[in-house]
Amino acid sequence: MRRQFLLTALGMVLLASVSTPAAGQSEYPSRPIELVVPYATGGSTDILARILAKYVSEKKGIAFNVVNRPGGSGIIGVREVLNARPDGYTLLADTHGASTMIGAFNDPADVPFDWRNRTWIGMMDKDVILYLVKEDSPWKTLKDVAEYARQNPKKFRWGTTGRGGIAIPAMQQFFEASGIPADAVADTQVLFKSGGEGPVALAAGNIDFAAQQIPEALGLIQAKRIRALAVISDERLPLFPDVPTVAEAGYPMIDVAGWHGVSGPPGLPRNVVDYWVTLLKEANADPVFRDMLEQVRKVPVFLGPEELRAFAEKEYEKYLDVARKLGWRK
Amino acid sequence: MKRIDCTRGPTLSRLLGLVSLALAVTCFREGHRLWTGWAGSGVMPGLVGVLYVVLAIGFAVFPAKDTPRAAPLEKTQRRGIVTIVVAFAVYLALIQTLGFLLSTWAFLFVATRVMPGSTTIGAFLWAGALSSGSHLLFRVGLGTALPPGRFGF
Amino acid sequence: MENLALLSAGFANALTATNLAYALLGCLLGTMVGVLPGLGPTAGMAILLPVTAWLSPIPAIIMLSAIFYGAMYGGSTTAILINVPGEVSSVITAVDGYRMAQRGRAGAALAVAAISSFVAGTIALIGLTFFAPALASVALSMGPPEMLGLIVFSMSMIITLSGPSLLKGVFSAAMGILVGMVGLDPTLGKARFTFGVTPLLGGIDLIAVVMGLFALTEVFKSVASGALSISSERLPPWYRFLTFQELRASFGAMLRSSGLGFLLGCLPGMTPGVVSFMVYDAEKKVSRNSRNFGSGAIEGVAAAEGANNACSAANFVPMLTLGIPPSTSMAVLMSGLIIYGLQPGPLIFEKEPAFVWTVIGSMYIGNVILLVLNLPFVGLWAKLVRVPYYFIASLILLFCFIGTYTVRNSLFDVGTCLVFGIIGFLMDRLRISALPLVLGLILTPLFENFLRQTIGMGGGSLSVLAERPIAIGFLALGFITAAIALYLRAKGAGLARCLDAEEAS
Repeated sequence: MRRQFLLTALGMVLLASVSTPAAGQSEYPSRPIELVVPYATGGSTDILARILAKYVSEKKGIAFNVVNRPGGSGIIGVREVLNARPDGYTLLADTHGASTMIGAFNDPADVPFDWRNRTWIGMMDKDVILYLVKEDSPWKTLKDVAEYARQNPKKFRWGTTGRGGIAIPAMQQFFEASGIPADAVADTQVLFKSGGEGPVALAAGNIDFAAQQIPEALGLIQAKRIRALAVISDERLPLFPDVPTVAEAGYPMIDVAGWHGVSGPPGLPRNVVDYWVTLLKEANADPVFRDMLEQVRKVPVFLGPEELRAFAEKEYEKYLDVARKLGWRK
Repeated sequence: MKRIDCTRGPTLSRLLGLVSLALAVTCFREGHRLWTGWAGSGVMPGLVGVLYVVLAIGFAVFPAKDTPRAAPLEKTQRRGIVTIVVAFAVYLALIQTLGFLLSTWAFLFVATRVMPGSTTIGAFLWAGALSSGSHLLFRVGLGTALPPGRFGF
Repeated sequence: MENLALLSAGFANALTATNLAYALLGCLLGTMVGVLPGLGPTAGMAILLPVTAWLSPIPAIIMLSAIFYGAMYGGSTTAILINVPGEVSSVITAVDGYRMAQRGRAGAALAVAAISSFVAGTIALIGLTFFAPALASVALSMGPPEMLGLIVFSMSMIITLSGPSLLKGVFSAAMGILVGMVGLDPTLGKARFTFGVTPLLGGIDLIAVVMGLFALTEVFKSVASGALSISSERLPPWYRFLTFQELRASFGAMLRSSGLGFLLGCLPGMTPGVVSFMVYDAEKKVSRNSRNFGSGAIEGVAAAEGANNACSAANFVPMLTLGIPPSTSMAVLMSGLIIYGLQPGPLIFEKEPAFVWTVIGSMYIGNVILLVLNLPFVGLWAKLVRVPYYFIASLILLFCFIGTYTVRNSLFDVGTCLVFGIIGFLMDRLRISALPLVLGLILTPLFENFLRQTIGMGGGSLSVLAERPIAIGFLALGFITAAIALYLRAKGAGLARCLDAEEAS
């Protein structure tokens, strides 16, 4: 009893001594902003978020803190942001994996929110995918790979990262365009937990074919252990002038790409969205920021709220199709 | 004189056997629900289900005979542990309202007071020193995102 | 010997005033964070990462690595003194270290931990200096089937870690495996054992479990025992903290654990947590003092600390040369490299020699800094075991919160910690060892991952194992060790029962 009383008393005293924060702030931002990364420290979304945070803090002099809330392939962190107060002080480091893929790949029963129900703000970069084989592989083009896979579906071992990885739809688009049914090669799929493992397995000869983003593959490509057959991009990359685009390799229908950007909880006020759209647009035009992105092998791209929403919607349809073909969704 | 309680062993074995059996059923159901083939999500639950069945059989066939019993708890000790557990749970429930500093202070005060040898004043001051010290170090100093509560600290 | 020339250039770079200052600062901050109960390298790096964001590449990586091994090092201090491991890798250190602290030998345990960390760190760095590229190809040849074999082999440890009752030990391990499966399947993304509870989708955090099972349980146990301090033994004078016999006894363990820890640490996916379990188990099997392992053997502390420090240095091999970081801490370091445009890969030693060798040089120096920084404080730390326990209990409770919360910024995880504190206390009352649980928990994701990949490589079956002699070798070895351990257990059952009875009195 006495203890309870003491506790209550303590609470009251401290309550009274605290002044309530000034209401009705007009200027945004007036206090530190949290950028929630729904993945662990050290992943590519985390890297991009920290680059953005560094740029924004230096440029605008506002405290812009990265907070990691990993778990459940992004579901935990995204839910946190979507349920946060829409005051512009909690934002999401958004990506394909945290939005469209959660919506398309996961069983809706497992996802405690509607993936569309967010305030889209903008995209800042695209994450390009390479199709890869071992350096001494006999295959020189994507067509060679398709030819082999068609004839030896049970021997053709291919790898991607697990769910949430953009390489999965890239692989499925390749199979579809080559006329290889998804279930013919389903048994020889090797799934990896993180991006670096696929290229390593390729170099070690544990798999024959992989699709992966550039940062995880570049080291082994430079060391001539693995080789890129094609890149999913409209034009060749300055980094790999000899690697053809998918269109040049005869696969113009392959078009998936990862991306990173910023979103917020539903119902974000107009002035907050405008503030960030202007900021991202400025960043996109700033050579300093573009350099920072290119250093981590991302392609700077700016899309505003409406374009990003439309883009995500289109990607969602593609992913949903893939998920159905793989039997992940009905 | 060493006291060995012989009744406890078999009872515990039976209990753990039943728990294993129940968990085996849960695992098999989960494995079945998720079954998509030998590389699917249902494989591990199935394997663990098998492990639990083996365990259940093991507990039934080889019940422990003379497992020694831990010294029984006295009433004050039991109350002490329960108080800490309850205070911890209340702490977690309140932290988002009261914020890290206040609720930690209160929680640590209660918990410290329960420990043998503490005094009310000492516990209050020590809890205050710890909570404000960690508040200053982690929140103010290092910018860690400890829960801020309604008042912003 | 070209490497020596490069290394000496690296040393020269690392010894410039700025770089030395950042190494020192990193070691200091890392040790400080690590010494705070419940904060290990994962939480420590997450907290301190923003501090390094403003530096240029080399100082930033030097400081981050220093924070990493400093926190690794500091973590052993709280594991030994108050049974609070901030990371899975110090769980094993706590097993023998805390028993020693309770017996008034905290000073010896801390000193041996410091020396063993230093020896292991240095040996591992020498390995890194001369063999890193060669080891990368070893790591490359250890594909999913081989790693599956290794994991199955290490599961035979459950038998030796089980304590007096094998069934209870396996029960504990099964609980660990079950807990490890909760959440979204890491590669296929299906929800398992979540029963519609959203926070469970994120899985049960390892550090929350460890903090609950050991730190929180320890608080409950001390309430139950009414102990006023950790140890009531009189502390020896400072010059007797570590006797020559103790140092000599642990020397073999230091060397063996460094070597084995380093080799295992070069393989894909091998974290210091897993490796410290494996090396401790191996040391227990070869040690002359194996009977005392688990009840305060100084060799156990030496082996655990040697293993996890050698492993964390070895983890740089797969991270730098293959771009596959085994742990979150390594992933953070790697993201540091990538942000600065340094591409991990087989060529990193050739393309970025200045960077790589400066960092390696600074790690040699950091090891010395840590030893010099910490050895003098051993005596002071050791006095902590005589401090009234209620001071320590509240400290543990505070850091149960901070340590678990900061890893994923999740209150749910702190709740998990509380639940596992209760479970740990019950397990202790029922004499079920918690170590197999932790082992099951850390091996499950590795096992499932490698199993699934092996099946994929075989086109839907385990057939690929037949072409893999190393994998077969590991599997066979696993079954043989399991059989031997079971036989020894059956033979020594009577003895174990007596010991158990005695221990309970």
